[in-house]
Amino acid sequence: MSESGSIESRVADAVAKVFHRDPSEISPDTRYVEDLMSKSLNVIELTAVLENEFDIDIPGAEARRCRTVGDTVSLIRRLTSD
Amino acid sequence: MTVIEELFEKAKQASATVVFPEGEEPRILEAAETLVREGLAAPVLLGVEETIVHTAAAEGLSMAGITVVDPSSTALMERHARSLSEARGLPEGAAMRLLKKPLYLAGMMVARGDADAMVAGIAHATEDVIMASELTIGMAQGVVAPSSSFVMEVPSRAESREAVVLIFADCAVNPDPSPEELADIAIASATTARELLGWVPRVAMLSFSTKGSAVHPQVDKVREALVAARAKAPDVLIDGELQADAALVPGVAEKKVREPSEVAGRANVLIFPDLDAGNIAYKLVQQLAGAAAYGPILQGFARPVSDLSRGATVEDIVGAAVMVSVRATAADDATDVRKERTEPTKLS
Repeated sequence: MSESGSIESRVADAVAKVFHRDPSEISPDTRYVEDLMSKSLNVIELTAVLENEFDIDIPGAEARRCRTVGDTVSLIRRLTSD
Repeated sequence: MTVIEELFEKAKQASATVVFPEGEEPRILEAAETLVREGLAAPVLLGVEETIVHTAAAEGLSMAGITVVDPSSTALMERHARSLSEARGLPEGAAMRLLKKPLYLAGMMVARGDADAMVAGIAHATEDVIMASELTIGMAQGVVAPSSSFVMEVPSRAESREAVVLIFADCAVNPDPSPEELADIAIASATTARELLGWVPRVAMLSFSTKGSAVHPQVDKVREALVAARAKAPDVLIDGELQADAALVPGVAEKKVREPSEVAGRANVLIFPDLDAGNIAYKLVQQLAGAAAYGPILQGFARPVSDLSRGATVEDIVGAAVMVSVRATAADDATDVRKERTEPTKLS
């Protein structure tokens, strides 16, 4: 599995966990608000789960700017390569 | 005796434990000293002990009776992380990440019985205090949306008459509540009236219409909220939609409200349809009628939380702690919750 593929699947698993969905339902195009009915609390929980999964700190403002799962994957990719 | 004087007397009987997540702030320290000295509450400050002790010494403050909890305490963090992990279905590592933020640790301390209430916000945005409280303490049964209220003490022009005391909501948090959210605001405000002031709440859902005198989608919203509130809280006296005079003045209520009502003309809790109306109303009453406005009082959570403004004075902080102490004790007395809650964990 490629490094970016690994990040994608790990992010999808985290999103699935926080939003109580099957990971197979989560794709990079999945939209947090429109598809997952995300609220502010969900963003906070997802951020904590991802910080724990990747052992990084994610600035709250950047987490809130992610509109899709793909946005989150790009964010994680950037934060883990810095 | 004014409302706030009465609350101070009640707080002295309450002896509640109040946690301050921003324990290193000098104003919080000074407020904590006052709370102990006046016997108003037992403060618990989150922060590095060395920093707090140093600040206290520099400000000439006594630390007697003030408990300090170091947020980096591993045992405390692990205990609360397990609880948070189970409650929210999060990995324990993720829960630990959250608890590194003092607002969340303090919230879990309240949720688990290490403290009766939380006072926060001097160094955090209101939204952060609300989010942390919602995630850790959770919402009261049947309530989905957090909200706020003000206790308005309007001085009477007649010397022989007492001040009029009312609760106004929501004047600070929800800009445009849906009918369901408005119902939650009504129910939470009734609870605030009961817990803080010992009232039987009479809740008026305000509008520019009284019982169908006007037809408009904004009136429909209030009517839907009334139906929802009554369904959720059938024991609470709630009526609407009512104009403000029909809610407050018996003579006007007699003319405008044709059906029996326990609220019309006698309302003591006023629910505004949106933040424009609520915020404008409380400020007008404050400025034009010389009313004292105590709040905003956060409400709707399972345990009392108070949000401070960034510019809160020591007096404001003490007042906020007094109010959450009274509410916490009243809630416990009403439901015997203290006996049902988990045995408070020893602080370490």
